[in-house]
Amino acid sequence: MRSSSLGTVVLSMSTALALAGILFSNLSWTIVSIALIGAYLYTHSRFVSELERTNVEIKRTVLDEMVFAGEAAGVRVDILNKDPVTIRGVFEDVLPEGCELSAGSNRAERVFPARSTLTLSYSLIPKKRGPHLIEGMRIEREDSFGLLNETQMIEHGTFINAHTRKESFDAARKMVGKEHLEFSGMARSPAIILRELEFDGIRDYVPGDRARDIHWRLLPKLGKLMTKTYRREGALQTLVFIDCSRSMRIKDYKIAKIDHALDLCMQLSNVLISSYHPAGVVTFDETQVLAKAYPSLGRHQFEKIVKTLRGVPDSIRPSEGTGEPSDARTSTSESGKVRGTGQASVGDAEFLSVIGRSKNTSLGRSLGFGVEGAMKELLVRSKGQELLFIVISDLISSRDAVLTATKICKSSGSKMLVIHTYDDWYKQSSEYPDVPDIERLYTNLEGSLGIEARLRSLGASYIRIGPADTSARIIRATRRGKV
Amino acid sequence: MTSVQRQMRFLLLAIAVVDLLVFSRLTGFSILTAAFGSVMILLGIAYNDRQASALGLLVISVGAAASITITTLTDVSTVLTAFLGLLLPLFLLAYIALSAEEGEAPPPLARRPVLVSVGYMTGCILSAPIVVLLLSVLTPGVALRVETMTEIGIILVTATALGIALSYREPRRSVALVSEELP
Repeated sequence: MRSSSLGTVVLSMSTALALAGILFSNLSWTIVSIALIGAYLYTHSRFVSELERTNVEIKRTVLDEMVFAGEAAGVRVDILNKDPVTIRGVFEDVLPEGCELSAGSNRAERVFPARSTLTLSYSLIPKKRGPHLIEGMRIEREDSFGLLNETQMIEHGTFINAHTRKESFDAARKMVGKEHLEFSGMARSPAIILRELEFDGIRDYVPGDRARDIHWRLLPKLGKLMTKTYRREGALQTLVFIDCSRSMRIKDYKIAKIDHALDLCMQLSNVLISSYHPAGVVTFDETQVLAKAYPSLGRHQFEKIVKTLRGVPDSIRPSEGTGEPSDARTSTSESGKVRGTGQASVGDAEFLSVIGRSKNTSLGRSLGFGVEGAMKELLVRSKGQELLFIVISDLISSRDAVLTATKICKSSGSKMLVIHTYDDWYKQSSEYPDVPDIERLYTNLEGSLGIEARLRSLGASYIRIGPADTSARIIRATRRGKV
Repeated sequence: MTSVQRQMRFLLLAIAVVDLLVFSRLTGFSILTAAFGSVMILLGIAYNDRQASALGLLVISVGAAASITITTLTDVSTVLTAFLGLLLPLFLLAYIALSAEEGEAPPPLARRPVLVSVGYMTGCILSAPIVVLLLSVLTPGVALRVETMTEIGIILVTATALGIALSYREPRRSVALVSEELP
């Protein structure tokens, strides 16, 4: 508890009066001094009891239906003073870390009477995706007599879950109808929804063919009517897997791999759904499947996917957390030697042992363990129908899991596309790299090429991407058979 | 109701000032300080200005201290003078003056804080006679030679010790409510 300037004046005056009592050898000065200290003590005791009995109710409302990173979100805070005592001071809704105030004010200097309501309205901009915690309300309280101050914290936490940037949604929306992922080809099994037709060839006109299918341009050349034939493309169930392991979450430079993967996943899903391919999404990390949205074509499937993706863990800076970046870098340099190698550091060994333990837990079994578990589960659900799996991963901690999943895919006759978020391309490269750096880059690339070769030998398609690669670019590359 | 409360404050102020004047010897200085301080407090209450009232309180305190001469607290009459002539009216004045910004109605007196502060003031005032009493029992020769400075010393030591003890209590800095997730 701090003394205000007036409180300091009163206390100083009391001291001066006490000294005057000594100086004049007169007890009345001392008694006056005690009277002032008594008044100060009264204030102190009263203020302590007021602080102890504080009874406020806070209701925080986010005015926007969905909060996007980099976009302002309105927040309204209603505070009800249930206490019969007036609260004086400055009320401040504590902004979360990584958020900045956009408009309005999260502070108010008020005398807040008993049983009344105070409303604060402001908007904040979350700088990055993920959960943001408004810790509570900070009140710089002042007592009724203006002698004391105290900072009080009303811990009423509110998580605001910010989704990825709005531009990513806009891009996903714009791609609908324009882009078409032709990776799927023809489905072996009968299609459920048959709307897309693929050009198949040309044959002689047979009476009864529709006029719109006649190839009119060939008539002057050949002098006879030819008819274009089409094949109906089957709807291929697609599941996009996002690797949420900690190596994916580390943000070394402009964008974290997890954020890029999330944007790609969202955009690819929207393209697939708009092309009448049932699409779903699975997020997984080193130990478990985090969330699933099974492939579907329903009206709200994209919203469902977006909701699932909101649970994707936040990116982390290398300075955040203990030992994370160093572990991740070790994994990168060892190029996938994380699991089951004797070269792993002590931290890695501990980490892997934790993974091993959690793998055996009932929780791990119930959710399926990593990408393989989810894949097996979906294959069982699909009852032998051909599926397309798109895995977005940096193939650091999930390398073995992805390879196993590819084998499962091959044996089940499903297709798989691995989108490799290549770790080195997401790091800031030095302007003048030295020899060890170049050697490391070559070693990493060699390792990546090795993984690519193994994946391709198992029948999977592979594409290596960096932060500049957009969904449209990946889709076009897929269409041109460059994967 | 509010006007009555304001009138009550003025009445209390008047009683406190009259009380001070009755128990003190009316010198020019004491009349001047009492008048000036009272006007300052009145203006502070009228214009909701706590600083002015506080200044008035300090002026009256100085005037009151200067107008009464108390050399010992071993007599019942001086103890009564200290209580009724200085401590209680000044405490009342402080309450009125410091609540100048409260608008029409001052905050109601809380029972526990009143007991704490009155207990503190009583303890301080009675510390000197109690110590002298103890000394008279233990060492009667020393008790006869207790001077004003000694009593001041005893009172100040008691005031400091009691003040520290009573202001030791610190409140909880945070109140935890339930967390929620939005939107």
